[in-house]
Amino acid sequence: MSRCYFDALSGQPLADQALAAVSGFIFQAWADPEQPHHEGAQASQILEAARQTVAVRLGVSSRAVSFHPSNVVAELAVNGILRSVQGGSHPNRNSVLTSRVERDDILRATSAFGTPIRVGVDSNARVNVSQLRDAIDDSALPLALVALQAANAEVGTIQPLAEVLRYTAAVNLPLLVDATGALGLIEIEGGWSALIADAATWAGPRGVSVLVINPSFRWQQDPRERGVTALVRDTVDVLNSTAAAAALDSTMARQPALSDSLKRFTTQIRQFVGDQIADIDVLGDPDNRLPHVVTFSVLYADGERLARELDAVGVAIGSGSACAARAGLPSHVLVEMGALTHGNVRLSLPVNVTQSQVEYLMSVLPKAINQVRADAGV
Amino acid sequence: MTNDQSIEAQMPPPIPDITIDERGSRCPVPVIALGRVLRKLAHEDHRSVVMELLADDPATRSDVPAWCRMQQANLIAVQELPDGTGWRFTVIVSPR
Repeated sequence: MSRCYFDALSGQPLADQALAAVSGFIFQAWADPEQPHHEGAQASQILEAARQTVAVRLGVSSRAVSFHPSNVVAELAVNGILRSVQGGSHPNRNSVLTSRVERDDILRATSAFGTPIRVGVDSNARVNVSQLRDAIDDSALPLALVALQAANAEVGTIQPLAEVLRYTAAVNLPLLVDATGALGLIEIEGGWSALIADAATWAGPRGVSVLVINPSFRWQQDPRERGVTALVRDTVDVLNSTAAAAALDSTMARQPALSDSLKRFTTQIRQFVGDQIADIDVLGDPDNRLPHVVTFSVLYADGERLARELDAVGVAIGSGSACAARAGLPSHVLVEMGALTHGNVRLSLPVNVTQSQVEYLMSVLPKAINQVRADAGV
Repeated sequence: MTNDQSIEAQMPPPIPDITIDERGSRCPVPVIALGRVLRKLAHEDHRSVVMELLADDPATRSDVPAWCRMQQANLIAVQELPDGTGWRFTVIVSPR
């Protein structure tokens, strides 16, 4: 059996169409697209085509699309919305409302201003909508924006975006959607002010994200970026942007069949672990969830040991507790859910996963878990 | 004069039958220790047993309540240790 890879959300092989785009443009897209010379103009044209590809898929104009390193995109989006709100009619608004289970990048970007307000979640990591609504409707709070994930990529639960959009729209409050883990795989409700997402989600390059601004939102350009064609200056190279756009296009072109088949696989895995493995906490909403993510916590098992055990038999998984062990703290998402934080396994299926890979995973998983538990003396 | 409510709040948890000190151990070790006791009790004809776990890994703050939920044990108190070296979890395991 060749390797079985189930850690797509931290990076997966480039979609074929992205590979073709990269190899096609590698000799043309290396110059600085903002330079007026021929080579720059050539790169600029290729970048514009990449923007256009994403724009068509999301129903916006190409000016509204820009590409950025994943570690800065949340900050760019949050700062940009705040600048626009404060530069407009609400100079004193400085607080951001989020859920407590957002990604670290979002939590960090939103803590930089005023007093961040964070709403809790239920045991599936679904945001408490009535608390969120109360905060949105509370005119005493100096809210500048709401930032909410489309889905929780750690456990898969889809957030009630449509409902939240109704509340923010009613009071004219901007909403930033973090569609990392979701864009290209589930339908994202329209009506947000800005959206960010990581290209690894749709088999694009690792570490590249898109920022998309809704035409209806009055985004004020950073004064230092006057003269740039797009609303926000791109900060990754043209080739990576092109690969991200081509991958999104090819993944979305495979919908809805792709997500239907991914969901069949994850449903199979969820049922299998729930039925066959004792003392296990299967996490996230059983139905209203990302099609390609399965997360569970294995009681008495060390997550990192389990990941190594599976790796040795050809299976790559993501382990939430491995990240936690590095930081010395348990995953904030699992803590907020009240879930078991150790022995955490996150399987995220790549877009090219096969039935036989899923079957192989299920054939080796129980033994690996028994082994790790036996070594621990339980 | 202390009112009834604050006496209630300050009531110490029952005297433990078993004390497990896992300060210095990282998760899942403290929870494994609870699991071992539970397995042992499963083979015995026992009354309700009060277990006390001392631990300092912050993950135990989530994992001990989650363990109790999964094993139908009853977490009755979580206290910070007076010397600041961690937490005391008091758990009651009833006969099945």
